[in-house]
Amino acid sequence: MSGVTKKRDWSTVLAATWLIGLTILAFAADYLPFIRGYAESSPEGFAFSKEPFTSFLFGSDQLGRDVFARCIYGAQISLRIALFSIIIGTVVGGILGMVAGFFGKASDRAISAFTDVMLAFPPIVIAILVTGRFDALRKNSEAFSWLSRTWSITFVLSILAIAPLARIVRAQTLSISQREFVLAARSLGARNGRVLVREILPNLVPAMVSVIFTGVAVLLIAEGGLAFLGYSIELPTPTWGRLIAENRNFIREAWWGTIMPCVMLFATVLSFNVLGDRIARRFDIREAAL
Amino acid sequence: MRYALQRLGQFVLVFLIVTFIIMVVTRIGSKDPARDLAGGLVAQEQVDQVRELYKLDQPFVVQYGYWMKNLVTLDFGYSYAQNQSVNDMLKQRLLPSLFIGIWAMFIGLLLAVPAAIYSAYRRDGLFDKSMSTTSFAFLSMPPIVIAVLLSFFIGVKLKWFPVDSDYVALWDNPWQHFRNFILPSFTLGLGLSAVWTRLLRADLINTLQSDFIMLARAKGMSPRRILWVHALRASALSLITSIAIQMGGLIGGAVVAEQFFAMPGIGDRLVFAIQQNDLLVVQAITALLAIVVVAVNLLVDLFYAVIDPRIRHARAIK
Amino acid sequence: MRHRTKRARAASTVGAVVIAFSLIATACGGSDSSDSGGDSDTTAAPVEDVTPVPGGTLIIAGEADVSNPWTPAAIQCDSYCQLRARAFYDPIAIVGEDMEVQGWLAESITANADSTVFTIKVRPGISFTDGTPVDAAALMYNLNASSGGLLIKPATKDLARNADGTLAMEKIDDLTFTIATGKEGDAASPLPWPTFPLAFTTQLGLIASPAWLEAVKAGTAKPDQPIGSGPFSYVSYAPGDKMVVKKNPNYWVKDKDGVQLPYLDQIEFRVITDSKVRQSALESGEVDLMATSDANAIKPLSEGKKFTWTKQEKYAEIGYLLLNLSKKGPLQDRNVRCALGMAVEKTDLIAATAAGFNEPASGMMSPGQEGYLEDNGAPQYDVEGAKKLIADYEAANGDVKIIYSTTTTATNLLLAQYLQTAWTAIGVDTEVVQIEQSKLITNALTGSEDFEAFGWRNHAGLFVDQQNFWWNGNGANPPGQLALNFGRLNDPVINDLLAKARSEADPDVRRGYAEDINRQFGKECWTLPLSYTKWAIFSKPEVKGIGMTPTPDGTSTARDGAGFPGQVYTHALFKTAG
Repeated sequence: MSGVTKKRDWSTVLAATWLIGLTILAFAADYLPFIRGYAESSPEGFAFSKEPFTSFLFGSDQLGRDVFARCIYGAQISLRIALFSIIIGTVVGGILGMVAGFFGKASDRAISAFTDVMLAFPPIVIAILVTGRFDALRKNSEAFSWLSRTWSITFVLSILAIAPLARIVRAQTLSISQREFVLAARSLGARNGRVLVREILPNLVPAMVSVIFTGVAVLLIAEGGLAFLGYSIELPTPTWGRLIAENRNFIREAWWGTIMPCVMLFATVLSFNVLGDRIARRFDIREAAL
Repeated sequence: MRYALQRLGQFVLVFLIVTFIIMVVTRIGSKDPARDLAGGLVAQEQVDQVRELYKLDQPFVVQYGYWMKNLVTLDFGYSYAQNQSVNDMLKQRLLPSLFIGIWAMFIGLLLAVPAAIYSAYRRDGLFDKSMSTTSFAFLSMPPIVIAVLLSFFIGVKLKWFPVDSDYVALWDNPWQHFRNFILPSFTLGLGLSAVWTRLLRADLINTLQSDFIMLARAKGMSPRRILWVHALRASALSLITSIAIQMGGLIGGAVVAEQFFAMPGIGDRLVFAIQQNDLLVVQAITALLAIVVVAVNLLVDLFYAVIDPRIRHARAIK
Repeated sequence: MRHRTKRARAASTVGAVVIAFSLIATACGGSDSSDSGGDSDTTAAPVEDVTPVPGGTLIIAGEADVSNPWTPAAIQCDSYCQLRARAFYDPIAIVGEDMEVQGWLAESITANADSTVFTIKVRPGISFTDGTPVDAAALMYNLNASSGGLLIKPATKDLARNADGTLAMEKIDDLTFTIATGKEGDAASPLPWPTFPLAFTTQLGLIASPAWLEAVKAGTAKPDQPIGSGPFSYVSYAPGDKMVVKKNPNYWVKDKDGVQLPYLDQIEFRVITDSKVRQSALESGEVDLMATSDANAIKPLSEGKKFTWTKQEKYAEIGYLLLNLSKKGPLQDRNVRCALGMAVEKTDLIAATAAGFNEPASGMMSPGQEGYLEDNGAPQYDVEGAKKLIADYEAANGDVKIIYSTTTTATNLLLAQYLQTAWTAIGVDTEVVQIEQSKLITNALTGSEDFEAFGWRNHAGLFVDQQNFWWNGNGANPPGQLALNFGRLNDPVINDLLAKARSEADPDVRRGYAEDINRQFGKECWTLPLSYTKWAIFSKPEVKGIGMTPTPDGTSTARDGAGFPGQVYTHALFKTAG
């Protein structure tokens, strides 16, 4: 790792600061007087499309809503969904990957076949297909009336996260299993379960954390694409993807409506990527080509 | 040879499972598939006709069998909502999507290969550092963000390229073809180039430390030749694997790019069909896209096996 | 570095060409043009003394593709569909400059004394592009086919029918036939219907080759490859993308100098659903002409003064909220409906969603239409009053929840969010659902479960009789069955007035009926009118001939957009050298 010896790594600091700041704002949004309520309607009675740094920090959109407030609420929902999905994906994918990597043979073949099938589906195509069908399900069946878009999207993104994570965890498990301390533990007669939990899992954690960070970045991007195609959360909840998609038509008259969410999405994804990358480098994790 | 047959068998198995899952998913939430297929705006007799025609009253597995039979004979079905057979739809719209993908990969490689080579060569130099930052930035830009920026600055402000893309075949008018495809392909190609730059750079750095490179250097071979011929060849494999892995994401990106730049491709028809509950079309197009991903992976695996004799004889460690 | 050099060289050549090209482009087409403002009526292209230039290809862009292309009976024909269909189909009649019905394929349409029987005489010597003749038999075949179509049937409800369901028409000779009216189809009770010939100017009057229609029925021809007698004929059609038509060399209409129409060699009709992309396409020169009703696109284009701007503002469509009156729920209560209307300040809404460009609607008839009133008595903007009405209703009946459906376009989305905010403020829980346009219409047509309220624009035209089948209770088929009366409106007062208006020959009395209908709508809040929709046709300055299509006898011109704003006739279009 050349060049990162004694110098302060500014990019990591910036990334971490951005994320922490954003998370605090996002989850405290409901309690902050200058954000709460501004996302839905205009306090000034439809002050259309005012520019940034006037009475509105990021300007206001066509209906007079504060773009900054909408971006923060957008952060709330986008982050929530992405984090939730990646955690589920990591837990399920992680378990599958560990089993496949550790036990090998039949279970490995089965799980690998499963991931092969899952990876055959182009992700966005499956996302819109499943979300679309879940919409129909919700409409046509009483039992599923709770299946709002939030649930559908979280479900689909979790499913899509499983296979790549299983792959990565499997590769990591394989390499860790060959290490001396694992061999030592096994030769001492430790049971499989114990080895998995005591020896392998702790060594997987850095890789998992790195992958979680990178995974959130990917899912945020995916949610953006979904929103653009019309498959986002129900109105009027703002998500970054929706803000970008909705306002891009007014980019000539009111560029801030689209550009601000673009900047926020970009900064957040970048921060997650930077942190994920730094953690991977710190722990010298082999990049399984994502 | 045995490996090839093994992989082919795997391919068929995956194909069957994938198409089955697609059919199941497409039917979720559908109260009356026949009515959905028939377009919703028709008399009961037509709905019944459709039900008979597509055997929708038979058990699910039987329906799947019929669909498979049709697929294998390349009959992709009919769309009542658009009064067009899916085969015709594909004929009209497959090429634009294909071209977006091909040109995106081309642009990705065009940008990534030279950048990675120079970065690996002058490691940690100014170019390397700035390239690393830039590629990280492009990696973090969602396709929609790139599309918004490109279409606004280049399409609207500078008016260099059309924002409403029309499909002009390469062989009809290369210049117009290029003009129409450059924005959508660039949108996807930038992200790809970022991934490949990083990948190739890491791989090249690795390769450049190996013995045969040192030997070549010692023999006095020019750096240019070493980089572009020997090192690149050694790293080409991981690049090809990455192409296969990126396939799924590329297809998804193409769907977004098609919508954004109004390119008349197959992705746009898929979104439309999903909105319209046009189940057969959804099944057919999704299956087609999934098969492309699987097929590309298969080809890459076979190619690998041809190149690397170790793989032919042992299970590949992915 | 060999590879690099080759590619680099290619790249720089491309770069040079790109720059050169853009310089040439700006030099040519960007000249200032007069905006054809003039009278704020419809097609106001100035009378130009420009000699028509034959030849060339025109590229036209529109907002949506048609469902069930292209047989006249099956198409769900919106304005872009009308624009295209009239390029390859001839109608029986059109509306002329003076707002009168003029025969097109028909040489004459004569009513008997009490307007119960109409005699149509077809012009001799016209053929379809497949060689078959346009004669009485052809027209009768088409009328039967179309009037049986699920969508057109309601408009022909009061035409007499035979026992087998076909229209009661009688062929007099090869070129003449009669058609009779009958109350609800009953041949034994003829109904005076003075304005009936207007129907021949709509989708009902589009005439396709019977030989082709038969072949489509038999499965030997494709329905999306139409054959008509129009100025252009089919070349290719890619749904959702584009349609190409070429000049019909044997077209039978000539211009005032005796030159055979059309002037253009070819037209390419493109579908660009996103209105901003359409705007960009026009501005960058990719398309030559486009029609739009999106105020957010009209405003910048009209202010830029680079394009010819043809307005269609009179007899305009009304943008309104259509409510499903048959679904059990809050919308069946008059107070709830009126409260929804009272919660919206129309000028404010127009300022937010349409750049302040449209006029607020004062009722279901637009200026110039029969029955237009400046104040139809509907409750005015009153948020507190609305809150009270909703609160009262909820006290007795529980929470008010509404599903508002809208298309996926950006402008409609804005409107949906505006309404959602306004209605949430008075206590109505609003869910917004986004559906693709033709599916939305299908939902409304079938009265599907999730159709409760949606934003719609419709009802352009001249006479209230033209709206009969939209508002008449006899068309209020129960959900599950198709009904053009989407909201399933069944108001006995309105039904009665509509019937009277249909048979009334005195225009002043008829107008009185129409105004009463307007007031009844206002009183009951059956619908919530928002604004009058203006359409605009934007074209490059070198495109000429808009609104100059002559009638076959040369005495008048065909009025663009009469009944379906956003449509222009393509017969007399031509391009001067750019």
